[in-house]
Amino acid sequence: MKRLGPGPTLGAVLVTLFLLAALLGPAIAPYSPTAQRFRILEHPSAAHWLGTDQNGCDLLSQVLHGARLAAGISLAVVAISLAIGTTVGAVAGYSGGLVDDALMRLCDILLAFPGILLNIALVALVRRPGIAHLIFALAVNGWVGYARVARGQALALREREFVQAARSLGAPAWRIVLRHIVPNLLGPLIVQATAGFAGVILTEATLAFLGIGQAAPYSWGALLDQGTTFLWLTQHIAIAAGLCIAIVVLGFNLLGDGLRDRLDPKSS
Amino acid sequence: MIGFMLRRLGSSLLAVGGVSVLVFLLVHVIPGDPVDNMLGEGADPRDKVALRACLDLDRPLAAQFGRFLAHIADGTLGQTCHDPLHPRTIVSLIGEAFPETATLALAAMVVALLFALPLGITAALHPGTLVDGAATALSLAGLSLPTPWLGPLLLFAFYIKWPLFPGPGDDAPALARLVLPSIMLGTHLAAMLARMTRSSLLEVVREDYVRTARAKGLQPLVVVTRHALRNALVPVITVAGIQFGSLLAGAVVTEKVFARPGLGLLLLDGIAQRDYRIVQGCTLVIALSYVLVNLLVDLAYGAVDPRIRNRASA
Repeated sequence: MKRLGPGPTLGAVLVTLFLLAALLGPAIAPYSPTAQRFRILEHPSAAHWLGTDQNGCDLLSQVLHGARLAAGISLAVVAISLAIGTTVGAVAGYSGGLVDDALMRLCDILLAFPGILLNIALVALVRRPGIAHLIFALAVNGWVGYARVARGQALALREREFVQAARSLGAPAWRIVLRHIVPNLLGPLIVQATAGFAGVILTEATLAFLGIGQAAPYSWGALLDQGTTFLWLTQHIAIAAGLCIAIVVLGFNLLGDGLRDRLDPKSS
Repeated sequence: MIGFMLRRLGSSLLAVGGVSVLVFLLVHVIPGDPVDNMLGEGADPRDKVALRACLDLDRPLAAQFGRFLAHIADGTLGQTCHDPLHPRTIVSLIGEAFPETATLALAAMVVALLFALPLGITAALHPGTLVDGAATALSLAGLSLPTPWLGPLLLFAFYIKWPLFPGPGDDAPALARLVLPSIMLGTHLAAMLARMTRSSLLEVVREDYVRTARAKGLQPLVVVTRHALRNALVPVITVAGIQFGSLLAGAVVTEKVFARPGLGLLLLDGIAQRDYRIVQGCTLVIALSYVLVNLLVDLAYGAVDPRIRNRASA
């Protein structure tokens, strides 16, 4: 095994810290994220390491609970997008012909739509969007990128000997796709999924910032929205929320770059 | 070339058709009754009936789609429904907002290229050095910063702390009011393009013709500017062109932060008033601009680089 460079290692560390915070955060958070006290917009202190927000809620506890929310939402969106994208891409690439044409036209149409705009429209028009709705809105166009990569891989794999062999042994198409095509196209998809986490976290933060689709009052996007609202009074909320998002996104980007270089040495 | 143009035009028309259907369906995919979503469930039944009629929701789906297409065909995109006493055509609202957003997106593109090209070229010419490391770190930072964070930070730094630039709603020359918003909107693209410029130039520098140019004894600067950059920048400019549409969409956040009355703010207004027509109109116009820009970029790319035409026909 070749060792990861300094950048990807840092990325792996940041992502691990994020996942730990998501896993353990709610257990180690000193307060409830929604418990209100009379000490509002307080600067960081020994009792409140990151200070308090405008309702007197402990910011560190909110950030830790928000980490679980961010991890949960991005994991769900990436998993759903990956599943749909892999299926569509593998089927399109392996079948070719009319099926391929139809599926790829659908991708073209979804790509003709600026992604964030579709997310905004899908979330905004619901009166009280829940977490499930948010995940749905982010996955609606999230799978297209994976489908295109999967299709490209499947097109090449279709002509490989082991696939031809399976076909001449009389294996049905679904079995060939499931047992021979899909396992072999996962590599590039995993690289893309790593960067995909960064994208979902940024988009979720953007939607929450716009005041639409806040999954919870302590989601990182919601904290960012509060922080920038009170930026003129105090800066600690905006700094905490913005740094959390930026660090996690940086971690996923670094890790994704490292994995891509590993998979495709030409690009480094 | 004509075949390539026709094929490309055909796929754009298909995208336009798909986008229109998608925008039409938006109202219907969303769970719950649109009228309840807009007015709340406890609203006056008479208001509900009036709104249902205004939005054409009292007709069958096929007839609704017909009306939707008719509104596109007559160029009004329909009328607003949230204020029945003062209805306005959606097109007049969009007409006021569009120049603001287009100007912002153009300025952001200029900012992105101004940062990205020098950064990417410098990094590629000194690979593995401290300069390269710094440029790479800078573009990674730009890629990871949440845009909704960057804008308020810029405002805080350059409007509150050191008042160098005007803030939201200030009466100031248009150019001065454009500086901070275009930096906010352009940073992410700048980071993306800087990375692309670096890797594209690094790849081209290894090509045989660049070695030949060097072997001929040309000045390094001439080799880079005349031979390497010309080819390395083609994909970068293409991506920049394609991303122009994303800038139009990304303007939603920027316009909210800087209170600029563009398409994005109009869209958010439409959302706040739950007026589907405004949301559909803005979405449609932004998406169609996006398709149009992509088409123009592809055609230009095909004209510049014959390999693209041939690949498209293969």
